[in-house]
Amino acid sequence: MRNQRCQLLLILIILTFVLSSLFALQTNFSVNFSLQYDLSDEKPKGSISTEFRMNPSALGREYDLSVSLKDADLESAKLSLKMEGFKVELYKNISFVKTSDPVILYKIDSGRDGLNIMTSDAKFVLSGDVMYAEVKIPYIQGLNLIVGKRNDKFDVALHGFQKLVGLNVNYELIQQDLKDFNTKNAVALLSVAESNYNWGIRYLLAGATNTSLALSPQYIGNQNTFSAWYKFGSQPAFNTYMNTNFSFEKFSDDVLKNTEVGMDVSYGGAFVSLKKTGFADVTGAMPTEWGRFNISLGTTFSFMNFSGKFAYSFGKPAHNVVNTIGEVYYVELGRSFGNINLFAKYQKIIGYYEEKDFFFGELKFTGFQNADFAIQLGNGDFAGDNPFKPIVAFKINAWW
Amino acid sequence: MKNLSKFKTTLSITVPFLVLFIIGTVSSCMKVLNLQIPDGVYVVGDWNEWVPAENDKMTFSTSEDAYVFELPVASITFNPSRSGNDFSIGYYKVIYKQGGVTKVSSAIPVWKENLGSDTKLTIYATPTIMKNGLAVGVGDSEKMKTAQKSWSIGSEINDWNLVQGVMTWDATNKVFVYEKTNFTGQKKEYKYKLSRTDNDWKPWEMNFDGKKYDAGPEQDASFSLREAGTYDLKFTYNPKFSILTVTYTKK
Repeated sequence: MRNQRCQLLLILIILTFVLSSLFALQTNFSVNFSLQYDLSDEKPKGSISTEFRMNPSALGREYDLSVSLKDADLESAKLSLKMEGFKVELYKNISFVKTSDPVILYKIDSGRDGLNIMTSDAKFVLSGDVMYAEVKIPYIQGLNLIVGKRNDKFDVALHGFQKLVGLNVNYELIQQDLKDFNTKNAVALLSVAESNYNWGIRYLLAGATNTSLALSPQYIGNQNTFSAWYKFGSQPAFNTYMNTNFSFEKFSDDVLKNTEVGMDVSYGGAFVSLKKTGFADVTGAMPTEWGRFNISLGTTFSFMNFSGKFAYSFGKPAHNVVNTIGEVYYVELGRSFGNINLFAKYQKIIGYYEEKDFFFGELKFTGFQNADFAIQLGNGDFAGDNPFKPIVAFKINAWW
Repeated sequence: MKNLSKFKTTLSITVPFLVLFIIGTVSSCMKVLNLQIPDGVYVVGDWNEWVPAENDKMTFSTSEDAYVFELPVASITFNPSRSGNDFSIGYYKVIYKQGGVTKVSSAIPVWKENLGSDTKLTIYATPTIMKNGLAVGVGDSEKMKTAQKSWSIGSEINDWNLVQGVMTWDATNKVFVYEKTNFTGQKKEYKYKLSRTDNDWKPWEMNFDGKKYDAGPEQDASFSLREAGTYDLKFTYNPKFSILTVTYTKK
């Protein structure tokens, strides 16, 4: 199976080389080698991976192909063909399913195989058990229709954009699962904003308290979802906002419990953010009695040719992975010495009963004609649960 | 020019002090609160705001040979899975504190739809094998259920095809098992991962790399073969304590 695939890819690659030499096509190749040692295990383990990418803008502007290989496997590929007023794209293991309505009816983050056909007025997407068409409705400016099918269910959305007395107005009506026509499966959206989006409101009405859109990133926690924002000033710049959700039956309870208010102030490279979520759980004056809140501040700085950033936050939850009250320290430093770039960041979380240290360092050598080389230590994803582990990675990136 | 270098010197002295000052003053936030938890094994989650109280203490059961806690399903806050709104996921953690030693498990996901009509979730913990920040040593009754989807092993040995790696329940040893016989081992190390079956790897939160649940694309477990040859492989998953292992015999 794998051998066959290898052969196929080899043929593909050779074909591309031959084609590019024959027609003098503009082709970009890139290769990533990565060698990683996990020194935290009892027996240090090494693993190596390679990635190969090919990106020829071959056969003129009408044709485009990109291929990426992970080790010996085809990881992903994209082929696009452009014709007069018409474009076809083929995908292999690429995340490409996303509708363009304000609520976003369908969005699939994982890699998919599929097809995308576009004209100036319509778009048709087919990917396994999900397919949809987006069509501009003629004669009505800014009005669009989406008809989608997932498994055996049909969904429809009508959305539009209008300029009204200098305001930006967005609206949308969704009916999910047409065969089971039910108010539970209906969602409506209205958003009104100032022309530069300096202030605005957004209101989402769901058919029921437990309405959920199957393939949408829009999470519906309640029947009514409301948000408002107001931005002002430039030095310092203020951004204030309020988000809430509630049901009609328990309006005041829900508002007290779910309302989030916040303010972000930025001045040059410095910032202060205050946020309070929910007011029902405030029981006293001590921070432990404040319920959910977050206070954070930080600044960029430079000294001795280093540029860096410092940030501190205190709140509950302390972090994505530490749910109790706690504080987070963050420091980041970078400096370049000619073709050598040094970068390091460190984070410490101090929770009620948890302490986690995060570190990531990188030494990168650039200045080679078409390659760079990096040595990395630790994991750079500080938002996830990745406390520091001695993992060393060597990475070579080359292109031609 | 002179002024600029003077300014730089001043800055290079003041900035570190400023940083230290900020750290020094604000770090007291948590110190001032001086929070302490008494010794014991606890379950924490949204219902107790992740802060253990006396009635969140697990009790030792000799019949189970583990610390046990019965959590009402209604206490868990479920949110849509990142892999889609069709799955609802809630979390808990187990805390072990004894003398100066504190071990806190990683967040353990619970898949609501898989619980069916269960009103209680039974949580198990063995503090001796618990590791700080990992799921090992902690498990629950939801992990034992396969009504919605079975457990499967995806691995380099089966082209990451979960449908081929479906595990079966071994009632005697109380573990899930997947056996691969006559496997031709050609390299030293093979990667694998536990997931719920049907090849879409959903809900993502249930994917387990032997250390933590919610293991991402690059996070896999692995086993090493000493030499090339034909092997019988046996993967086991113990849902009660989140233990994932591979044993093999060379033929």
